Amino acid sequence: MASGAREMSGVSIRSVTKNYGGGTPNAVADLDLEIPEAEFLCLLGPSGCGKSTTLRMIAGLENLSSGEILIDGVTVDSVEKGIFVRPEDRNMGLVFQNYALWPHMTVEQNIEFGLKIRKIPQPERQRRIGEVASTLGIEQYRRRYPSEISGGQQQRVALARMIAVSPRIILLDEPLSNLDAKLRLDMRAELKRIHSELGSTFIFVTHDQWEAMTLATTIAVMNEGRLQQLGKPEDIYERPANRFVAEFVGTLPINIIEMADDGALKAWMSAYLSHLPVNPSEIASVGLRPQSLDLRPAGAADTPRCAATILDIVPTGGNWIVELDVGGERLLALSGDIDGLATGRQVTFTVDRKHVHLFDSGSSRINVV
Amino acid sequence: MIGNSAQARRPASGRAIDRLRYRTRTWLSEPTIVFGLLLSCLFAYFILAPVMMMLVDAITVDFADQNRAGGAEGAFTGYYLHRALASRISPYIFWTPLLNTAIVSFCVIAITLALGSLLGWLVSRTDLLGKRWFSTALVVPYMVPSWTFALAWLALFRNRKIGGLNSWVESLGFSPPDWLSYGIVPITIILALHYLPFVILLVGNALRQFDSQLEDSARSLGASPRIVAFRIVLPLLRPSIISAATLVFAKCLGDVGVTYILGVPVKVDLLATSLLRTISTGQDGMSAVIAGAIIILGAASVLIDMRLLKTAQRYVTIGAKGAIHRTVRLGRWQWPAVTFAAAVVFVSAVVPLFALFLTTVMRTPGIISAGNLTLEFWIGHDLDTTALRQGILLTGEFWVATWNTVWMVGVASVAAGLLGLFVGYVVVRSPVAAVAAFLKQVTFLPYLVPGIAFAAAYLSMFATPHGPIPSLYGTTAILVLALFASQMPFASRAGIAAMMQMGKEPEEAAKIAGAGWWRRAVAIVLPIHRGSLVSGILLPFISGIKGLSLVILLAVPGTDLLTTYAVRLVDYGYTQAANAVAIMICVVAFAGTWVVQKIGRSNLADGIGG
Repeated sequence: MASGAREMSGVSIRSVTKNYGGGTPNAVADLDLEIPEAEFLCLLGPSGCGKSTTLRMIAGLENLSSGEILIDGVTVDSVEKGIFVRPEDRNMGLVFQNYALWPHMTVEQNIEFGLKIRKIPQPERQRRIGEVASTLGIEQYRRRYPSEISGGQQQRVALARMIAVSPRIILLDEPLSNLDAKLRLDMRAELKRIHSELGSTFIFVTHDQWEAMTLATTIAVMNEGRLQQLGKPEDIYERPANRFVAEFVGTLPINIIEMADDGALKAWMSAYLSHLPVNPSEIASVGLRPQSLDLRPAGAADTPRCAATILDIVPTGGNWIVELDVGGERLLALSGDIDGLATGRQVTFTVDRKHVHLFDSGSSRINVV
Repeated sequence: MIGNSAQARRPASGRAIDRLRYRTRTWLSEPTIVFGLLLSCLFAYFILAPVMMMLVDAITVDFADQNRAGGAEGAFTGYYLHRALASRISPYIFWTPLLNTAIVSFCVIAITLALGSLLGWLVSRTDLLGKRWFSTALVVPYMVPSWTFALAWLALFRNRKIGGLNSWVESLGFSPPDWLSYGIVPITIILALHYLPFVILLVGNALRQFDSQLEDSARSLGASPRIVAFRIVLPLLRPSIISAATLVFAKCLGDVGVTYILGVPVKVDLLATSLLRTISTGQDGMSAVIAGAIIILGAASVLIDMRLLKTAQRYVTIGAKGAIHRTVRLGRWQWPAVTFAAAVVFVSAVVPLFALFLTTVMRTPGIISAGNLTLEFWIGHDLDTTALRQGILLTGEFWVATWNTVWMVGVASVAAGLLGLFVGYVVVRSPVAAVAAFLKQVTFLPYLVPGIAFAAAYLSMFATPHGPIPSLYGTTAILVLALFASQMPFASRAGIAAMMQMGKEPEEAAKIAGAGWWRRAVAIVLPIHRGSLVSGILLPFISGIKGLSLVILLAVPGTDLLTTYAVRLVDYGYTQAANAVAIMICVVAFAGTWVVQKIGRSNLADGIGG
């Protein structure tokens, strides 16, 4: 099966569907995904979107309803060809969200387990344990039990246990979500470093876009079992493929203007859009990120700008969230500077053309130019 | 490079045979379903089939009754049902025993819940002095056979209604009234004392896991301690309290020994003794009807229990992450609490055991004088009795019975404990809900069948050869199998509870690390569950050692266990020797507990505090 072709390495997910039966909708529906070697891919989506199921299917912990999965060109799952490689024979690494350290083994025994199974001789085992323990800074805890160390240390042990056996594919389930803010930054750097040192393929799932944006080289956004968009973090943010991605990604919720509605905002938007080379009847909704709204105190010549009233200003440490009212509709803006702005004031705003996201009646992105 | 485009090669739609091969391979990689089916067959054969065969006896004509029932052997008949429920003898054989059973169980449940909840709370959540000691001491009555209490009661309160030695009270010059010596009152008291540890263990355990923050948040909202107790703590403890009540009820239904010793002299029958009488007089059809009634009652209580537990599961917050376990300071209530706990230990453990022991070293009970004390019932020679002319410790049969008890109950308990964990594993992991439900129910079934009825079922099933299995009557195999099957309720409950607590992750992590099924079982699952495995072996071991009703029909003189040997001695009127054997049973039970705890490096008392 394995060929020397470069595109064969990594993970291939082909037409994979997973249904838990009992009349439930597909947890994963007809998923196709090629993950090249040494990629750091994030499966991002809300809970129940099928991302964890996908990860577990790659690991072999969940079976497929149809489709196939190849790892480094070798088929490990194929419903149609009747092939299934057991999880224990896939040589993967998986770090669980709650770490799943074995409570009855010391840190050292936890790390040693996988090495013992691979029948690595004792001196070599000790050398490797020492190596990963020092890499992850857990040497002083080697003789402790998991219950005797902190959550952050437990995660390091889970990582150490996994990388000790040098797996080609490394799977991570919400790797940062159980950590506090400081540890998240440390661990993020740690994971990036391990990724570049090992050169393995990393796949992780998360519902947290911060985690996705800061770690991944590529993000696959999923919803309701389907792949919504696959791309680099900045593409996902700047060119969302559909309304779901636009609304899911972004720390502040994106403003969506329904073009079917009436009102001042829609009227202004229609006028604004008339400058764009798009047929206005195709546009069902428009998305404006709060960050892209350019606010000014109300002045004299305001024709290309939209008038609004400030309802509230909320400081977020360095930035301000400005809540606007446009003819009864609410709109959020993020501003780095509130000189001349105050609650109750009249303001005007406009948006840079390249930050306007247009969606058709099927909620798909309409590309302008 | 990366793409979800349609150009990715689509696999062919695949033949049905290949899809099936895929399913089979995934199933085999996780052999839960295979084990589930094997275990289902095993328990269907060793638990369900004997009980079913016995129940069929209730509605088919027995060989001996062909004329009265008006049908050929094996034909369908309502004769036994009519005779038990609606004939002139039914009040004696069924309705009065049923009423007595209801009264006794209700009182026992009320007493054990009231005392047990309080004691469970004291040993788990307060700064009670000597808490650790009390945790162990309060469980002692559970390790002592219930019928031993009955012997102790007779030693203390027997009157002239039946013959034999004087009781202590008589020796002191009083003549206790019948209602105190025999019947409902002593039966209730003894069963309550015996099953009290159940409630202490279950409620104490739940309280120990109870998050203090739940109480704190209620207090901070202005609730008084009283309101917190009744509106927060009690409702959240309801599952454990209900389980405890169910277990106690099922136990009361099946207890033969106590009623046999204390009820029969004044003609007070419970359903269990009524059943014993019909079995011992060879009325297979009648006994099947009464056993069926007991099973229905037990099953109904369990169904109610499960119904209520289902509701309770919707608010599973107990044992949540970051739980805080605060110890309540008893303050000025310290001494009343200590006195109370000590009094319970005194009445439920010290007095009965001491009374029994003293009986064995006195020629005339209750008179403490140097001349009256003797060790001859233990180590004497040439006693002036017809048989058993030496002390019990010098009697060969005693040591044979001891060895039989240890190895038979030991083998059955280890097998039950291991299979119980297995059952727990399958019940929690099985992808087929029906297999899980079947295993859960079938392993619990023996709890609803009183030991004596279960033994009868085993006789009806294994007294004749079936397929590859030869006739087992009179062998040790039938005893070990019956002990094993009857211990599955304990063992599987312990196993299920343990497996529910452990998520899938530790095992999945081992899979990912490359461990095959056997390796995972030995290196991960069993060690993690060492504690529950110990209790899954220990509890059946203790109950098996002291159990009488199950083995009394199955043991023959060559395969005597300590309990059946003791009863033989009671029947022959060797009261001191019987009491001595009862004490030795307690010693074996305590020693067994100690050994299993040492091996498992865990403490039963940890279950309720410390």
